[in-house]
Amino acid sequence: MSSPTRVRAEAGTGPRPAGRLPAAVTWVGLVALGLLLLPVVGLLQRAPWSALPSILGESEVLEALRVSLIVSLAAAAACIVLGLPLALVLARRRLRFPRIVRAVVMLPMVLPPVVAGTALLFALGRRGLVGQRLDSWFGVSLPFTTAGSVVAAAFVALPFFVVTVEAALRQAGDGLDEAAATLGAGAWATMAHVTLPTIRPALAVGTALAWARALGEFGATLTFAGSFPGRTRTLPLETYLALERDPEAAVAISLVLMAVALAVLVTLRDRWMPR
Amino acid sequence: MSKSQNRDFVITKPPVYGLCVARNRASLSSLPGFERSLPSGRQRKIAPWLLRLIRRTMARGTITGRRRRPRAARLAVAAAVVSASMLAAGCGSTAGSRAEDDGVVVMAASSLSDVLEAVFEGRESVTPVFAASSTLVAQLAAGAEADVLITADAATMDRAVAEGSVRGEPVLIATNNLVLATPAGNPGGVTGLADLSRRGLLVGLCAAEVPCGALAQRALGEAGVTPSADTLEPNVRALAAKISLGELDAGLVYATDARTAGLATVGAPELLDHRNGYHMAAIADEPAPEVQTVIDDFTDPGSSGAEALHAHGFGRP
Amino acid sequence: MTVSFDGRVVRPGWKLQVDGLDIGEGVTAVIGANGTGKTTLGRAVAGLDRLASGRLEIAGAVADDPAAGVFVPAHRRRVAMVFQDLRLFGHLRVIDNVAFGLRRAGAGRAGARRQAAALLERVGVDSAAWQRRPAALSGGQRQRVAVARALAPEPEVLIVDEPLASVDSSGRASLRALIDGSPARHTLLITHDPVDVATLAERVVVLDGAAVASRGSAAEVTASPGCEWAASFLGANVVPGRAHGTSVTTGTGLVLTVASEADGPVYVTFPAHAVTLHHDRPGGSARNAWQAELERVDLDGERARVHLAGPLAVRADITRRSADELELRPGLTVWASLKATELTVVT
Repeated sequence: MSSPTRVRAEAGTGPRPAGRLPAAVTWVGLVALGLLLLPVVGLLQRAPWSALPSILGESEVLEALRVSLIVSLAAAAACIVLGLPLALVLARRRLRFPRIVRAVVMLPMVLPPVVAGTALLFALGRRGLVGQRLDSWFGVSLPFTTAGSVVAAAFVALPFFVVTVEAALRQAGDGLDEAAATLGAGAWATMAHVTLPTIRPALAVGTALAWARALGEFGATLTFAGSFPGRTRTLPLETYLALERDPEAAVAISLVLMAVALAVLVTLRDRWMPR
Repeated sequence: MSKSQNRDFVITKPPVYGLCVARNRASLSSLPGFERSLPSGRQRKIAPWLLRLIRRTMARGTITGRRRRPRAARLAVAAAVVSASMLAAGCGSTAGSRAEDDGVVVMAASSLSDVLEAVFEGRESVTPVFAASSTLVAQLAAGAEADVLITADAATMDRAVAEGSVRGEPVLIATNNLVLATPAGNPGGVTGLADLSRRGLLVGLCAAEVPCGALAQRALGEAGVTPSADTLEPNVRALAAKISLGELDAGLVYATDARTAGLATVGAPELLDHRNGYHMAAIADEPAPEVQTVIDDFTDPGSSGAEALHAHGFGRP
Repeated sequence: MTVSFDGRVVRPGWKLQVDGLDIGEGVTAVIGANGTGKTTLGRAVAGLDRLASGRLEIAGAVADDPAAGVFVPAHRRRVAMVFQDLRLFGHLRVIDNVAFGLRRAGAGRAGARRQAAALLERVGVDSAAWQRRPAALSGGQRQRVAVARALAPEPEVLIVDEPLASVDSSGRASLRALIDGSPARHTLLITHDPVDVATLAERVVVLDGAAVASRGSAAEVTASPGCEWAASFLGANVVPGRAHGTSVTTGTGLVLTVASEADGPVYVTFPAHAVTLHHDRPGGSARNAWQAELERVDLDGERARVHLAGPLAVRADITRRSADELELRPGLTVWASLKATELTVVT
C-alpha cells in the first residue's frame, strides 16, 4: 500500500476514490437490468418472424389494434383534460389533508386492475352508484362500450400523468408564476404562457406514460368493459384469447405492443427527458 | 355480496412462458413452435422450481388463496425466493424434483372451483389450481407442473393428450349443461334463447376459445339463434359475476355456475341437448399412489368426490 | 404621490408590522439584517403577499385593505419586481422575456419586440444575446435582462430585491446607473450594500425585528439608525475615487492605497471602526494617513463617533476612553489612518 493511500485511509475516506460505487451495487444493478431485459429476450426468441406479417394481418388483430389505438389515445386525452387541473390543484393549492388526497390519486397504481374494474362497475355500472343515474336519466350505460374501455383505461392511467406533472410543478415552484403576475399576467395568462410551457417536458412524459399504461391495460378493461371484437377487445385482451388458441399469435401481438412502447420511450428520452 | 361472488372476479393468469421454461413430466417439444426454444443444461435444472414458485404464488393469490393463511406472508416469501434465485444466477442451482410440500397438484376448470374446494377442504396434501381449461392446457404445454388435470370438455383434454402433456387415461367424471341465466328478477324480461338476438338487451357469452363459449356457439347455432353479444368473456365465472351484478341482462353459463352465483334461469330446452363432459386424467402414466387416491375419489361410483359433484348440480357421467 | 403602507403581513410563525410608512418618489432603500422582512415588504407592495390587517395605498388608490375587502391582485398593480433570484422565463428568448409584460398589456408581438429591443439596448445587453435563452447568458447579463423586463411595462413602482447579489463587480456600476435612471416613479431598493445606499437612496427605511426601526434621509437615518445592525451598516464610509492598480485617487486628490487592483471609477468603503486617530503622524504598516479637521464628536455609550471634514469626509468610531485620552474637540486637527486591508474597493 502506497503512502498516499494510507493517508487517505487515516483521513477516514477509505481507500476507494470518492464517488465510485461499491462493486456489489454495480453487480446487483446489472442483475436487475437483466431481470428487465430477459422477458424481452424471451419474447424475441419465441417470435414467429416469418409468420409475423400474416398473423398481424389477421382481421381480429387489426381490429384489436384499431380499438387499442382509439381507446388508448382517448384515455391519454382524458388524462390531460382531467389530470392537468388535478395536478395543478395538488401542486399549488393548500389542501386540507394532502397526504390522504395524494394517496387517493395514487390508488389506481397499486390497486389490482381487476379490482379497479370491479370498483368501476360498482360506481359506473348499470346498477352502480352513479351509473344507475346515468342510465335512468340519460340512458347512458358505460359497461360493454368503447367509452367504457376508455373510462377504465383512463382510470388506471391517470395517476401516471398526475404524479409526473405534479412533481414537475413542485420542482418548478411558483416563483415564475409570481414574476408573471408582477408583469401584468392574470391567472389564465400565467398558466398558458408560463406555468405550462415551463413544465412542457413533464407534460410530454406524463402523457406518454399514461398512454403507454392505457395501451397495456387489461384487467380493468376486461372487468368493466368486457371483451367484444371491434368494440372493447383491445390488443391485450386479444393477446389473452390468442394464448388460448394460438400462442404464436399472442407472441406476435405482444411484439407489436412492445415495439410501440419502446419506440415511444426512446423518442421521449431523446427529446424530453433530462440527460 | 356473497363470498363466492367476490371470488368470481378473479381473472386467471395467462400461461407462464417463463424465463427458464422446462418441464419434466411431458415433452415440451411436442408443441409446435416451442421446440427451438427448449432450454438446456443449467437452465433446465432450475426451471421447475422457479415455475413452481410462480405458479404457487399465482394459485395462492387467486382462487385457492383463502385455503391457506396467512397468504401475505407466503406471497412475500415466494416473491423473496423468486428474486433471490434470480439474483443468484438468473437461473441456476439445484436439480429440481417436485417438492413434497406441494402435495398433489390438481389443475381444474374454473367451473369446478366450488365443488373441489369443498372436497379438498382440510386436505393440506392437495393443492387445486383453477383456470379456464384451455389456459390450463397451455400452461401444461409450457412446462407448468401438476399431477392431475380436469378439463371442462373433451376437446381440451384431447389437446392435452395430443400434446403429450397428459399421459394418464382420461375418464369422464361429470357432465354439465348451459342454462340461460339472468340476474335475479330477470329485469330484461328474457323468455327464451331467441331473446339473445334482441337488440337493446345486454348479452354476455363465453369467448369461443374456452369450452363454455364453444358449447354456447354450438347450441346457439343449432337453435338458429344469432346472438347480439355485448361481451365475450374469457371465463365462465367472470360472465356469471357480471350477470349477477345486473350489468348483463342475460348470458349462457353452466348450470352449476348459475346456481353458485344465485342467478335466475329461464327455460331453454334446446340447451339440454348440449352437455359438456368433465374429464380427469393423471399427468403421469404411472401416477404416485397418493395421486391415484385423489383420482379414484372421483372416478369410483359412490365415492365422496363423485357425490360432491352431484350435490353441486353436476350431472352423473 | 406616495406608496403608503400601514399594516401587518402575517406568515406562518412570523409577521411584519409596518406603521404609517410613506414611500415618496425616487429611490427608497430598504435595509435591515436577514430575516427582518425586507423582501416581505416588497412582496406586499407588489401584491404577492396579502396584508393580514391595515391598508396599502399606491398612488392614492387602495391596493390592499382586508377590512374593506379590497385586494388588487399583483397583475392589476403597476408594480414590477426584480427578484433576487431573477426568475427569468427559461422557455422564452431574452427578447420575449422583456416583451412579456408589454404583450400582457396588449401590445402586438412585433411592437412588443421592438420596444423590448430598445430597452435591452439601453440596459446594455449585447444584441447577440437577444435571441438566446436566459440560461445561455452570464450572471450580469441576466441581471440586466431582469431589470429590463421589469421596466418594460412602465411600472409606477419598481421593487429591486438585492440587485447586486448575483453580479460580478464590473456590472454593478452600470446596474446602479440603471436603477438611478429608472423611469418608475417609486423605486424600492432592497439592499445589503452600503454603496447602494450612499449613491442611490434618497430615503432609507431600516427594518429590525419585523418592524420599521428608522426612516428618513440617509443622513437622518445614519444619525438615528434605530438598531445595532443599521448603525454599523450605515457607519460604513463610502468614498468615490478613481483607481489605478492598488491606488485610488479621491476627489480631493488624496491617494489611498488598497489591497486589490482595479482601474477606473470605484468606490472605496470601510467601516467607521477601521479609522484610527492620532495626534502625530502615524508610522507602522498603515500607509493611508492624512490630516483632517475634526468636525464633531457624538458620544453614544462607550462609543464615540467622530466626524471628520476634508480631505475625506469620513466617520470614525473609537472608544470613549480613546476619545478622552486624545482630548478630541471640534476644530482640532488630527491624523487619521487606515490599513489597506480594511478597504473594500467596489467598482
